[in-house]
Amino acid sequence: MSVRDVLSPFTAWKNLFRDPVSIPDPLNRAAAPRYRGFHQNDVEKCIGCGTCETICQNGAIDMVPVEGIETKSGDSGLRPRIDYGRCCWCALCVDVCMTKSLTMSNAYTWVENDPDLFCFTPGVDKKHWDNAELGYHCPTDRRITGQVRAHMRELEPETRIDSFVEIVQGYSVEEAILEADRCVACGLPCATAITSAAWNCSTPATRFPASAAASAPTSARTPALPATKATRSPSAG
Amino acid sequence: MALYTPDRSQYPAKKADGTLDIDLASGKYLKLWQGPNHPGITGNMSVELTVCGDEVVEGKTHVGYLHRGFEKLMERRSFIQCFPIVCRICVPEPDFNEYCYAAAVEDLSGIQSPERANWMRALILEMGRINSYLMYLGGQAGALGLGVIGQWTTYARDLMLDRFEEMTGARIYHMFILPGGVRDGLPDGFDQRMEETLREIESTMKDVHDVMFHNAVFKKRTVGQGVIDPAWLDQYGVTGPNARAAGVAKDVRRDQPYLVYRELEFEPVIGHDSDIYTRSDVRRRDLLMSVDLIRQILAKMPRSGPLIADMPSMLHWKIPRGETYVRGECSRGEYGYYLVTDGSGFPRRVNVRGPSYTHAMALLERMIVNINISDVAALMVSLHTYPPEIER
Ligand code: SF4
Ligand code: SF4
Repeated sequence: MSVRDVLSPFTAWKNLFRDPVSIPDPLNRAAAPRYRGFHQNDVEKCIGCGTCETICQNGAIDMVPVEGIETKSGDSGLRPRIDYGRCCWCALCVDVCMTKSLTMSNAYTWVENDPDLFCFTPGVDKKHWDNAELGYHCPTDRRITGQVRAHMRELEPETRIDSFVEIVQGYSVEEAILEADRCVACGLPCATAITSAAWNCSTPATRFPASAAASAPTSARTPALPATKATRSPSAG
Repeated sequence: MALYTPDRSQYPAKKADGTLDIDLASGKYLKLWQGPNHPGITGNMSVELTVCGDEVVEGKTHVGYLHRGFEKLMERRSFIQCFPIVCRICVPEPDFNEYCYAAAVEDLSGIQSPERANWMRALILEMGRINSYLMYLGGQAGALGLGVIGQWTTYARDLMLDRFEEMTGARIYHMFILPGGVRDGLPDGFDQRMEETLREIESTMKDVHDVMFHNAVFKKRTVGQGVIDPAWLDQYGVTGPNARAAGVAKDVRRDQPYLVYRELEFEPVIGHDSDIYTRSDVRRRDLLMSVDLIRQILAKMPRSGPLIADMPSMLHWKIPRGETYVRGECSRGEYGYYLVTDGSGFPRRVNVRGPSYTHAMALLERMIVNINISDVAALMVSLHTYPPEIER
């Protein structure tokens, strides 16, 4: 213990002469451009595939019918409704969105008296942050679902010209697995039209480098991805 | 001060089974609960004290106020769905959960996270360490009535949260370290803003040094108090600054370098007296070391290249049968994830080794005996424990 130990604490008084460091207007503080705030959805782009609902580990998303959007080929007619009493703003739904219609604005202040209003369908129930440019958008070069389409091999034109051999060569097992891996089992008809049967018999784990070394990576359970979503009735909750 | 007396005859005798013979009806002893809702407790746990006069004769730790069952929850979530859950296991320093979980998944599936992602991860972990220490310093000073330190460190921490916000998109639960890499790179102009923040933190730390560490009251109440005997380190599994303050240079970053720590220059900060003062000082110096590490990381990290590995769709992940233990040095000591997979799309078992489990339970119960009631808060905070990681 020294004289310094007795006097030094008094240096705290110098803060009397400092400017305050608090934020003068916290309600109007802008969030960072990447902030993960309330969702927005481009309902015209969204196809109601329900992949966002599948990945949400909080069960915050329900697919609900929306007035004015019909069920048609390639569109279930449903749109994601988000319950902000459950959402944890992880943005996995944004990352997984098949059409990139679902994004997050950087809006984080919204005051309402009625708690039920915090369960709404982005893009359908209009909000002040709709069409915000800032906020979290899934980077274009990264998707958590398979990106690369496996191309089906075809015969060269020179070979085709004088034979009746099937032009389209089909997939090898590896290519089929790669392609099945892209499927999100939404049940809506799509170009690749991989059926849920293809998904069930695929073992995407074999693409993991480690699994090549593991002798018997048997699947004990299959993730309970619903085969079709379009036909499901929306839950009332 | 304490009614401490070297005459032990007034204190309870040990019964044959090793428990203390405490007769509450005698009026000599009093039961006192500190927590779960008490400013002198770290988070949601409580200590059941039996006191004789001002002196604690026995202390029992109670947890269970914060049990959310993360480990069990994860057994029913796909691998990617566990990612937003893990950060919640430790609120003030969530990133270690994200990193350890991601590294464990990568280990079992054979994914290699890209070089640039590893640098980003190290940056995030060091930023989180600074935040955690800033929070600790406020708590340690506050436990001894020095409230102003908490105000300053909260300000400094808030600046760091701003950096987190612009980098990860969130302030507290960043949910940024995905298995396979990280979500994004650095935003434009980040280096400069980070440098300003680091300078501000250094200047705050200088004030903290003057007012907290050169403070007659703080010294009087912490020097020689709450000594962890170096012999207990292995016995109780003490790691991190608690061990380093006892003179043992345990630091996973150096002992078993992960991420990019091999390429950074640093020496584990150690102290020798192992008391509350030394532990605070080790953490203060460790914080300044993290400031230096962040500068090194920003100077050395690659600015281009992939941020996430090429992987199969995370919706379909089935990870081959296996088990692994991944560890890292968090601000409280060794943080570890033990992950078992069975080839299915869900983890078979996840076990989180939070350093608070060993520090706040067995070690605290041992150290709390024979101290003054008014020192319980300071002792407990000095072990730097976060209850959520005790009860995962
Ligand atoms: S994943 Fe995207 S496209 Fe599919 S339902 Fe959700 S918001 Fe719409
Ligand atoms: S941000 Fe996360 S928790 Fe919220 S709706 Fe999307 S997936 Fe669910």
